[in-house]
Amino acid sequence: MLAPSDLSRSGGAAGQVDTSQVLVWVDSAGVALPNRSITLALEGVDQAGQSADSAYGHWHTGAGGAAKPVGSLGATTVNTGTSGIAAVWYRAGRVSGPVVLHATSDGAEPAQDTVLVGVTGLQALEQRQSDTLIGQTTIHPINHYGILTMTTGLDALADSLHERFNDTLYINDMSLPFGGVFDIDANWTRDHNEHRAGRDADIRTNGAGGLTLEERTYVWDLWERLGGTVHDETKNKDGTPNTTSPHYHLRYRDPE
Amino acid sequence: MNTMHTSKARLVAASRVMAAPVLLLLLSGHAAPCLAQGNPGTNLTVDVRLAAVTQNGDTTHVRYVVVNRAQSQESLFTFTVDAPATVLSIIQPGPRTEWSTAAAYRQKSVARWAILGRFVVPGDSTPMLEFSARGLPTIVSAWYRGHYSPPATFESDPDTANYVNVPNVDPLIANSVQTKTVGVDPIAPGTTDSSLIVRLGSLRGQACSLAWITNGTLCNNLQAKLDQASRDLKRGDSTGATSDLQSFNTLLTTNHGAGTPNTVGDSAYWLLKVNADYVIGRL
Repeated sequence: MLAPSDLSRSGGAAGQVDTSQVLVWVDSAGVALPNRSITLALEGVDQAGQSADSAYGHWHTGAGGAAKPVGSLGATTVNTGTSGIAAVWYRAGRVSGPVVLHATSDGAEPAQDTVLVGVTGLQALEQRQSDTLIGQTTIHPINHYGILTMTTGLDALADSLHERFNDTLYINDMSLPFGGVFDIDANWTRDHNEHRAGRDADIRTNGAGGLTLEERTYVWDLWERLGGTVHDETKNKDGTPNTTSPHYHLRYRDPE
Repeated sequence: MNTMHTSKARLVAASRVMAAPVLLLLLSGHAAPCLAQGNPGTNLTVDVRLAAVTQNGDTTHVRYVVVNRAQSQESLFTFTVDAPATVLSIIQPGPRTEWSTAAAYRQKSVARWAILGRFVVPGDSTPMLEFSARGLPTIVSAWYRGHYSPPATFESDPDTANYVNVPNVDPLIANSVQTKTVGVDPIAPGTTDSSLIVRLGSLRGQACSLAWITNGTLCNNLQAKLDQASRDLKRGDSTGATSDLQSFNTLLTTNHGAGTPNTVGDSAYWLLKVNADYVIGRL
């Protein structure tokens, strides 16, 4: 699996590459034919979660007809040359999911192969007695995936808060099952910027399931002791209260 | 045609004396000028008062009171003491819904107290903060942190796209003030009476450097007692060494607290006396 490009390059998907070499040839009875021109094209699987894209958590098509980012090829037309085999680079896009590479050549049957794009190794956060998982929507019904350190840390945080305050931690968006852009507006853009690598979680602070001052402070202190940082999203940038979704944003950036 | 293949690949400034210019401003009805701001969490000055150090066998109990000076700009949020010796217990200073204690911070052994709601405002002080560990009193790092709101983030900002790669900031470094206090060191295997006296001399030197003892002559006199104890021990005179260490303690006691020249602060007194008592107990 290739990492979403912006994560691989930023270190958000440590150890995972975002680029792969694709070898193409025209085969005739086991022989790669020389000097054949091959045309390549990419197609994102974008079927509202009805097919292979469902496991990636995007149960939507691009809002307003937005095309799903599919990544890029080093060239869209290649020649097999004297060796009969041509090489071309493919770099993944920022959205997780399967991408189909189509190849066509005059006089030959069209062929295709599928490249999987996403962050590997993310774990599902399981709901416990001490927490309530929220934020699932029809377009992103699977929204609680993270690196192991993140899921175990959240379990410890919820259990500790519950034991101390007899209260439940409401955990909102983390990352999608294979990370990548978490486009809460279904338009493939980065409007939920940090939730792309399994290293972030939103914690409800206000309203039903919210936290008292003491509980918030405890969450802040414990999360920092566990190695992360806490960020306040209870206010808008202009200082007015965030009435839509006030929360604490928990980060974990150290190595797993 | 066949298929394609893919190969992968912190504030001391707050204590600045506001003299005539500030007074003039106040008289003319203006607000006092803002004091310089450090990182959130570092805009306070506290006094870490060592209330007592006691010992039962090999276990040392340390008690602190942390005083947030009146000129601080932030309330006290957390107090963390380095714990080279594994912490055995931390006494909860108040209801668990108001105080949190911990023996670890990011893989580091500590004694830590966090105030969850009724933060210690400038001019106020904590209740007694107490922990115990197996070992002997030593000088360790401690960190105090003021309370502030967690930093904001706005995820719809394009900038936050890069935050996936922003390393964790350690608030103990970035948002706390580091100081020195008395903690507990494990007793190393193979420790001898002689090595304990050498260690006591080292602690005396550090206490003097930290101005926990403010009389240089006294510093030298204390060391002279230790040197004599070492010599006595070397020639097998443990009675003489015991007497030297008792004189060492008498020097500490007669220079500590009210009614004395008070050149031995609480930290130096408890640090050195308890260690000397421990050696005396072994002789």
